Amino acid sequence: MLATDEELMFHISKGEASAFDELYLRYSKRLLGYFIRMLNFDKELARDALQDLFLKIAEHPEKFDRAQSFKTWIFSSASNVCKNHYRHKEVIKTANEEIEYHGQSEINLDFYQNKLDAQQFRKMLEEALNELPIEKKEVFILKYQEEKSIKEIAQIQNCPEGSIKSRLHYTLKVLEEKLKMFNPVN
Amino acid sequence: MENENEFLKQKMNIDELGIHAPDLSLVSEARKKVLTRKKLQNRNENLFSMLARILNFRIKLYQAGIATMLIGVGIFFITKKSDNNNETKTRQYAEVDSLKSSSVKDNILFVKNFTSKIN
Repeated sequence: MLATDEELMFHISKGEASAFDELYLRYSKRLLGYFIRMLNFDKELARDALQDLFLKIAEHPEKFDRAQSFKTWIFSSASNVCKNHYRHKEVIKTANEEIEYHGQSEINLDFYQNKLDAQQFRKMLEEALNELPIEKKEVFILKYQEEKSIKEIAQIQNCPEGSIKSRLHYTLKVLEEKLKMFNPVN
Repeated sequence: MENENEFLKQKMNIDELGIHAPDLSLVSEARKKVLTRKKLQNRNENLFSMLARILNFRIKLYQAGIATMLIGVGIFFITKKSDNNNETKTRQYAEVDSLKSSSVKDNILFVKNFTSKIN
């Protein structure tokens, strides 16, 4: 039977390198993907961030609270690593005012699914994401790349669920605006 | 709504990035730190087990008897030796009587001479 992530962390704290390898195999790819998107597609910086994160895990595995979910904890740590990189590299962009959460935005999906040039859309989506403030971009990535729930994202970002909903709504609105050329209505 | 979610999830899928899992060499330094932790842990465990062995040391009855006898004999000799020392000191003080000191004797002779001259 496979060990859980939490069990692997316990073994890492006991100095078991094989547990560390297993954890790395489980999370390295998706964390690298998260870092790549969070750090504006700077792949070298993303690899450095991944290295930093696993170094922190190796140095202080006791910082992980076993009562907590490992998946939430590791993304919370990854989020902190990103913030540090942003601070050092001064890539923080001016944060926009948050708008209140009124419900989900409406994107004409039928059109996208049928006629969209997928590659071009993806490119523009990534560009639009890069222009977003870090915390809003993170909410979007965690929601749609990592498929986290609002509750989990709130735990990762350490803020109320209402703020997460608001950030997500704002992001969808901005993306809708930036990608409206793909919408036949406009 | 559900379609929108699925659509965005598909577009944000990690495979869309065309990346591969980086190999373990990227985190070789971190891996070394984990191994160092094990060595440190083993050293601590050795110290702990040594202490536990000392605490778990089983003493047999005859060993306890011999140890008590040795301690008793030791205490007896130490107290006897200190008694002897006390007696010697008492005798030494008796010998060292201030009245028998030379300066006192000189003073007595001086007084005797002085009174005989006066008389």
